[in-house]
Amino acid sequence: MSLGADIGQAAFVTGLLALVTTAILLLVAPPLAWWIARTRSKWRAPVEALTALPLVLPPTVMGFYLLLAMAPTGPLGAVSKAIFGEPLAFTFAGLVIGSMIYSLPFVAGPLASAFRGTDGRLLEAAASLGVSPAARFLRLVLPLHRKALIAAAVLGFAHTVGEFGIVLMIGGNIPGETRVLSIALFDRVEMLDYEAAHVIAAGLLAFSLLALTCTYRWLRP
Amino acid sequence: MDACTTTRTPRGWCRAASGRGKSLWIAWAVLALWPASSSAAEPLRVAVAANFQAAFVRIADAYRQPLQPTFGSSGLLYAQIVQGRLFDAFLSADQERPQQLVAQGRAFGIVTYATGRLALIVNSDTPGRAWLDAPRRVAIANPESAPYGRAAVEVLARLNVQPQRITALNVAQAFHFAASGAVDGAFASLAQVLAQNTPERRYWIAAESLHEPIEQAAVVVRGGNEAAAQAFLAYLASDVGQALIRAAGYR
Repeated sequence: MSLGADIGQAAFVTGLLALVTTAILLLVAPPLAWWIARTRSKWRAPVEALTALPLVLPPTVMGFYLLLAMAPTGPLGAVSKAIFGEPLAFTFAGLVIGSMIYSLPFVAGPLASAFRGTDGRLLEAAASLGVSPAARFLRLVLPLHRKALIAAAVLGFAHTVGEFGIVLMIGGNIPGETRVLSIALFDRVEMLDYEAAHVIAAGLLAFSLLALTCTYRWLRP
Repeated sequence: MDACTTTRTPRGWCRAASGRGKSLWIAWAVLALWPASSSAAEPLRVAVAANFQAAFVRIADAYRQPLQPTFGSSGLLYAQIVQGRLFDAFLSADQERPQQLVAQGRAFGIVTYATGRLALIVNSDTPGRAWLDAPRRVAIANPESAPYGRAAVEVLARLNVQPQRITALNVAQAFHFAASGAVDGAFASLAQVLAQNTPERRYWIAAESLHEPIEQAAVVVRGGNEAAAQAFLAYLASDVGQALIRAAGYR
């Protein structure tokens, strides 16, 4: 395969993976972050620790367990096989699940910090006007923190683009499905194709720097 | 970076893969020199193709000098040597890469130490031609960097079967994919299959007529402990060494 087509395909898979992962995380993470920010439950600390775990855990550890879970004999794989007819390991869907776990702290973490700073008087005023808790969250809290939401989305997207260890363990390097840019880079180095490796590496570097610069610019009040 | 799942040594993590250059090299050099002052017998640093892992462990038990192996695909180890990672010897899974190192003046003393056998290990049913005919997911080592992967591709082509192929970094990962149950089967080296005490009904040895011979060559890497590496390669080629290697699943 020509150099450009191969890299283009890997870039497409990477972008799609990051997009799908970020989209799902933007549905899951805000309620979770809100709960973490507001609750007085004794479960807050363990749940917050679980959410932050991918920050400190080597991705290969997560990949190792995810592969077992996604095999036809594992819990996730069995459920997937029953519903979709195929196990999760070495599929795009499997990568999305892995990426969600991997990038969750990068979305939920900044959101929880932002939510902690919510002005309680606004919430009380809304409550006294009879606005339900769900409506308060959707129509007051989220619009108040739209900057944090966008920053969290960019971080989640960029972090997923940079994923390597989990994909290495559960991806299977299938062109067009699970071969992402970081894996394509690793492959190219193994094949001593440094020209292509340079293209991919420089591209990822430039993208990450740009994403972070945009985030920090946006976050400035 | 976590590019280093295939290396077992804490030293000099995957320089070629991460390419972080000089600072890492210095850190590595410091680490590499650290134990030199305390231990009398310097271990021989050997880059070993992943398929030879089990056999190497046995040989290391029998050999008089301590050996410090780094396991990986032949392609990755070759790339690391080209980029200056210091090994004393390189046990490749093919002939080409050692020959290239010799041609580049980076190595010498090439010797064929083993001829590999390719095996298909499966999780259910009886493996063989018929097994491959059914729709299966089969892990193979990356054919572009791992000779066992290339041999597996040749076998599939000769048998004219097309299972869904899952590409692993090297034979060790292909084996792991099968062991985890994530694929139906994997092409690995017979040596790995034997080392894991796989029951006979769960593997199939590919006839040698189905693929080009997997002749595995070793070289002494220049710039390391050349005399000790030469002695080690001579041991591999000796009757004692060859008996150990054959017992491990090579020919």
